[in-house]
Amino acid sequence: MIRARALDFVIIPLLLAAPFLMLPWSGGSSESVRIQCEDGIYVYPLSQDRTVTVRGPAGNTVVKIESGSVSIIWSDCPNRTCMSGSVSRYPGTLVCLPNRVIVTVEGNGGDVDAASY
Amino acid sequence: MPRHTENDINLISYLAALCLTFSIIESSLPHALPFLRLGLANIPLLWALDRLGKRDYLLLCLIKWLLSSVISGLIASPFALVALSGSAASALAALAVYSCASRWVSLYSVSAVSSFASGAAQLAASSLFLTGQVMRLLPLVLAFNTVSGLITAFVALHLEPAESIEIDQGCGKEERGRGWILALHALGLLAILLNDSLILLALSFLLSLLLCRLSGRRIRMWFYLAGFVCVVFFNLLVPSGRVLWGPVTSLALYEGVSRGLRLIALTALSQPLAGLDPGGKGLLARTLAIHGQLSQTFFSSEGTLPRRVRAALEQRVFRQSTAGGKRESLAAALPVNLLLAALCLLSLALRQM
Repeated sequence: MIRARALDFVIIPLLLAAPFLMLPWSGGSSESVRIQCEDGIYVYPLSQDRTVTVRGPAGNTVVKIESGSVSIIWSDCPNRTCMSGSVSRYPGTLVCLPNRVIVTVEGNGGDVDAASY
Repeated sequence: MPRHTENDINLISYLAALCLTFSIIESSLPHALPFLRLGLANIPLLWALDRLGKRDYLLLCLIKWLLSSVISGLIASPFALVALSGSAASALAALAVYSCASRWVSLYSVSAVSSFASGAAQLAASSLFLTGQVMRLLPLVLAFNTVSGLITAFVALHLEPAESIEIDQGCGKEERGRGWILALHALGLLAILLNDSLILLALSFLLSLLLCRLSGRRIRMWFYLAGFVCVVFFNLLVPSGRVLWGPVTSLALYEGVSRGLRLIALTALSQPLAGLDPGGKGLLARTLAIHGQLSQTFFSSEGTLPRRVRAALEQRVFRQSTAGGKRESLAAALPVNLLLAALCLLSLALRQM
């Protein structure tokens, strides 16, 4: 078995090339949700479902992240226009002006997302 | 299932002992990074391919994993799980390539493929503790493993193990009293696994360190520190919770610290188990006896490295003598073990609330 055999010349170059072929793919573009409110900034991964309640001058705002999209499901503000619609990709934004809450979806691999958008 | 003859058992334990010895030889060589290993311990597995049947080959890989995890004191830590997935993947890959295509490939391909598979499996297993972000390292790990697999094959083809070996049977004595200590240890492990409180986790880490000290294990603080920092770092890569400072978010930090503490506590608690002696005359005891004598030959012989390795490989006759003496050191640690067990009950009670 000491000499190289026919298939070696196929298998070994393939194995050596595989990591380089993976390079562009392995960047990992995990998107996150950024919630800006009066008492600070919160960031959560878009891929994990959860409900977050933040406080503002008008009361509570409830942000829900579910199956890759984010929406405001409750707000103590007077007109509740923020509760219409959801965003799921960069650059999407939900705003509740009376309660001073801004929800944005951010891409980790920002350049690629911007180019493909 | 065919019964193993005395010769089969000798051969399997000899090859397994060679794995352990090569692993020690490799760690005695200078290396660039503590976690980057060439995998010289896999050389005997390559030799085993045309010497053992499939079933025995898998048995050999299992023994290699088990004993090297126990000896390095990592058997009950997540590292053992990572190593197991790597071992399983590389064993299956090597068997598959060897049995399907041994006519058309050399040992170089077999070794490279199995090392490649092992790298992928180890990374996938560690992503359980370090978040999926660790998969970003995949190309780097695969490239390194392919090259190291080729080097391993090169060394394996230029060395030769002893054709057959003999073992002088001493009187193997069954050890008693290990059951209690193992059971208490298991409770300690449970305490760490079930805990969610950072304070209790830190406390069990400190108790485990005390246990290491009492059982005479060297405490490598840099190792724990590096492991802890690494886990926290990878967890911070997925931001979650309130932004505390720059990229640091509250939930990710909490998760990272608790996973990191759990990792080092489990590792520290595994260390004293390295002193356990399987006893008897079985495969494991035989492997350890041969390994002891092989490494003694290697470290006591003089000359260049290849000469010393060859000296160890030329050894054909081994003795199996009764071991013992480690038990006392384990028993000395009994009070700490009891404390850890109490911690387990406490964490169970906390979970109930």
